[in-house]
This record gives sequence, structure tokens and C-alpha cells, in this order.
Amino acid sequence: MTRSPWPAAVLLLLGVATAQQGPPPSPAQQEYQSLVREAEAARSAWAAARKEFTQGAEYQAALAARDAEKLNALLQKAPKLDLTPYADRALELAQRHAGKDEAVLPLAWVVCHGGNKERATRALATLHRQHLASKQLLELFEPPYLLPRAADPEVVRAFLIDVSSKHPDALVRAHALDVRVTMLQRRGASAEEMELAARLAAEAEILAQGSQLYDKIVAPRFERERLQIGMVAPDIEGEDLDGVKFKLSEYRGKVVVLDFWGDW
Amino acid sequence: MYPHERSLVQRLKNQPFALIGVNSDPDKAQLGKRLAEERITWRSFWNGPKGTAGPISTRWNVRAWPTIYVLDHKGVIRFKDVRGEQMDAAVDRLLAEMSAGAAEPDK
Repeated sequence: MTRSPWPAAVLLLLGVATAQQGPPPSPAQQEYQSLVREAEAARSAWAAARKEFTQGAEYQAALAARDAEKLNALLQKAPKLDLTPYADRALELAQRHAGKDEAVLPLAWVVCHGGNKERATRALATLHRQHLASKQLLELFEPPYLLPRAADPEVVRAFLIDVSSKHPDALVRAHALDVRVTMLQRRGASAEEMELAARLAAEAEILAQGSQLYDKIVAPRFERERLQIGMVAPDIEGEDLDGVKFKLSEYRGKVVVLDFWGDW
Repeated sequence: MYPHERSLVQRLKNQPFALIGVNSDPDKAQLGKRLAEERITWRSFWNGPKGTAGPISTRWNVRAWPTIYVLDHKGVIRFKDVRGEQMDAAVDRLLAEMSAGAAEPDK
């Protein structure tokens, strides 16, 4: 056995110190977290009920018969998801902390996950007026397709322009630019829009250096330049599902099938 | 997908071959159950709690799941997105290439 230079009690204390990173969540954070958990549970329950409904005999029969009218009628009876109670609680929580940083996450949740466009647009306008310098605005930008779909596009655009030009944090500016790029690169975009998107993406790439957003922005180029047939595969370093670190390059000398998968 | 991968791994268990996954399920606890149910024995990197937006698939520009790369024993990308019988054929070919290379004397 190797002898540790540290007494066991010191190691134990170190363990406790590293396990609790940062201060414990404030009451407002706890309230927000439990709200999100409850809303997620409601969403999962709805998704399961809807799946059961669409796999039911009546629905499957209509689907097999390609009976559009019948399918529409059945969908009227399908389980609905109403997130209003959760959005109301989030807005109430934000109201109690109006103007303070504790209001940002509840408002961002209403925008991206609250399930109602008008409500989302109002919450976004509040964020724009009162929280334009908050670092927690990042919550709105990942994944980047949520925000453009969630609220009125003009309000989103005005918000993104202000964040990307005025926010004190470079990474927040980069994310705001990234969302603008996703908005511009829609199907049927004009040549001017595509040109603007390319310019904004270049700016985002510079601002995002060293972050995962940078990897995302340069990914198409990485694929073109590093992931083509005949090229040595870039190494992957990570943890397996048991938390054990390993590298793809450890399998040199074997034929490898690399399978990006998910259980869905 | 799983039955085919299971049989590939089983068939080549004594060969210089490995199936390596990059798993994009955000919930590792739930996934643990599924590994047992589906008898998934091969090793996977975990793409982290962001799921499909995690670091490995982001860097590799993966936008569709599953995405498959087949690498030869030197680590060179030789085939992409081969499925089913094509995947088997690609692997068999690279294994044959490897043993032919080993049989040749060094130049």
C-alpha cells in the first residue's frame, strides 16, 4: 500500500470542498430549479400520453387508411400540454425580483419554454429593457433555434442586435451573433442575408475562441478539412459511460467502427 | 440498429476490431437501464449532459444520428455512413487488408 502524505481527515475535507462547487443555491434559484423540474415532468408525462394516444388502435387505423379528416378529428382529442401555470409562477418569481439578476432565468424560461408566443415576446421585452448586461442571458441562446421560434421575430432581432453590440461579455455577444446567424440562414434567404450571416459568423468565431461555441461555428470547416475519407481521424478524448477516461487513439491497430448514437 | 451491432461485435470478437460509440443521451442513469435491456456491451464515449449538443458530436459536425465512420487499423477514415450489410462488408474488407499487409515482408 502507498502511504499518503495527507492525513485521511484532510483528504476527507478536501473531498467535501470540491464536491460543493460554488455557494449553495439561493432560495430564488431553488424555486426556479424546482419550477423547471416540475414543468419538465409535466412535459414528459404529456409526451408519454401523446405517444400512447398515437399508438392506439383508432389512430393507427386512421393512419394506415391515410384518412386525413379522421386523423385531424382524432388529434383534436389528443392530450394537450398547458404550461400556463408554470409560466405564471415563473413570471411571479421574476416580478418578486424585478430588475435583479434572479429575475433573468425565470424570464428566459418563459421565453424559450413557456409555450406561448405573446407571453414569450413580453418576457423578452422585459429582459431587453432591464437585463441587457446579464450573463445569464446565455440561457436564451442554447440551442440557438429556440429563441427565433419562440417570440416575435422583430422583437428577437432588435434584442439580439443590442446584445451582440453592447453586452460586456464576449461569449454572450458571440452567442447572440450565432442566433442571428441561424435566423438569417433560413430557407429562401436572399444573397444579402447570406452575406450578412457570413460576416456575423466570422465575428462570432473571433469572439467565441476557446469555447464550445467556437467548435460549433468551425465544425463545417473541420469536417471538410479533417474528416474526409483518407484522412487520419482526429483523436477523441473523453469518458466512457462508467466515467473512465479513454482516447480513440488507444484503438490504433484495430479496425474501428465509430458510431455516433443515441437511444431514441 | 442494436441487433445488427450486437451480431457484428459477436462475430468479430476474436478479431482486431472494436465498435466504439459516442453516446448522446443526456440522462446517463436512464441509459444505464437501456444498456442492460439491449445488451449493449461495446464502449462509448459520453457526449455529456447537453445530449446531441455535446462537445464531441459538435466538433465532428454530426447533425444526424446515427452517424458512422469506419477507420482502418492505422486510424484512417475509410468509410462513412455505411449501414447494415455495407458496414459488415467495409469492416471485413479492412480486416482482410490488414492481414494481407501483415503477411507482406517490409520493403
